[in-house]
Amino acid sequence: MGEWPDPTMPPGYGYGYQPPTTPDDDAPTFPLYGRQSQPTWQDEEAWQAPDRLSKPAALRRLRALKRGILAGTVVAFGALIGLVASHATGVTARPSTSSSTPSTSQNPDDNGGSFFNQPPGGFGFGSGNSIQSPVSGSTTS
Amino acid sequence: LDPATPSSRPSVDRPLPEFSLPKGLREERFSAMGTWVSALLPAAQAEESAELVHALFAAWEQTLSRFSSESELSRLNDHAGEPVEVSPLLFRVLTTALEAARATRGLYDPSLLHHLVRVGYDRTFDELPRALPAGPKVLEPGGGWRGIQMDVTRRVVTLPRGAGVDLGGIAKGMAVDAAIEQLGARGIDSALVNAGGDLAVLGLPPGLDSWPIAVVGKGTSWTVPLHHGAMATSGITRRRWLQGTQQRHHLLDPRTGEPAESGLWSATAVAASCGQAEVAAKVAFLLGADAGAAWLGGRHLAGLLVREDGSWRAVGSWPEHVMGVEAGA
Repeated sequence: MGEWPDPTMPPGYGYGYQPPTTPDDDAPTFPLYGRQSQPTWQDEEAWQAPDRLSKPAALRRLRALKRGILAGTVVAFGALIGLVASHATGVTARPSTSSSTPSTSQNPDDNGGSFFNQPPGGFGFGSGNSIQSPVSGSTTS
Repeated sequence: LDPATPSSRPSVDRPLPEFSLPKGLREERFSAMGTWVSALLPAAQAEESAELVHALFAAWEQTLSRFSSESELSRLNDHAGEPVEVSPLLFRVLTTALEAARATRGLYDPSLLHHLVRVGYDRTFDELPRALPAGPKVLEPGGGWRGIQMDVTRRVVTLPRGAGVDLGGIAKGMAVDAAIEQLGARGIDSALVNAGGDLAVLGLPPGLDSWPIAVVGKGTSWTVPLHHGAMATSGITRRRWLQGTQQRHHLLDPRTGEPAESGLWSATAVAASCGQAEVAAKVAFLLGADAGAAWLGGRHLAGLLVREDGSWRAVGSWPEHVMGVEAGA
């Protein structure tokens, strides 16, 4: 929950809001961390307007900008689709890309994934030295 | 490294021995999920523990049975091709079944329902006649599971049009695991739950250093000291029938869609959980003695593969020293 604005403050304060400032403010400009020659709104040399571009140069820039926007849009859209797909079908069975016939390959990397993971000491046998009559049986079901 | 140890000693015909009951435990037995369920429970807490196990299996059967037209699984199968919102239980079991299918590269295939029906297994085995009219000559390979869509955010499942899911074996194994987990959560420190041969243990039986479990071979059995974990056996000893002149059984090979012909009589697997053991036993059975042993060993599982001629092959840490003595001898 965010903080409520302080009712004692004038309207417009709170939630990080700052009153606007303009170059016409009379407030003095302060040097930043001891750098005495930082440009200010009053420093005309530092804030000269750039030269006008020629029309062909402007068109070149415009085309480059368009290409950038298009590429960015495609990448962002792809990422969004990927996120949606992985979120909505997290355990979707992967469709076969070649044949639906199961493989019997003994690829060493194919160790059963996590399904056959055996926790340490997951199963074990006793010594069985003393002959016992069985208490149950594992028969074919 | 081949973890399997070959043996060519043929088995000797002998029926499964009677089971004994460890002191302090009581057996509760009932029928569920198309098979019998047996639970060995501390006598002092047997009644309430048995109720818990019974209720769990009843709920799982009601949700996951392919033989009940009212089950949620049947409703899902009836709406193949459409998105269906399912219960957390069905979603969990189906998700696990798909993980198993991926982990076995499709050798375990939960989408063979229509194949089973085509070979005649369209009702519970108890209701199935042992001789059926001739069926289709050619069956198609499986693999329909690859097209199943699972929407985890909305818990919605979409089966491919024409596909059907059978969760029989893995659901039974996972129900055993769930029962053991719930018993443990209730403070039970010694129990065994066995659903038609798929079993898991909790703690140790009073006065014993392991659970002596009879493992069936071809006409014989051995007693294996299971200390902790789970065990399951797949085989063709029981669910067999004739379709026309063709011998059929319920273990279909997804590579062909036909009942498997691997040269094995049964495959037993031991794993941390019963769901894992169930899938591993089935896959080992389909692969046969040599490839099945390598496959089990490659996953650090233990097992016993019994060939149709009765000879056997032990895999991994399977206690071979008990194989010289028949169960109950």
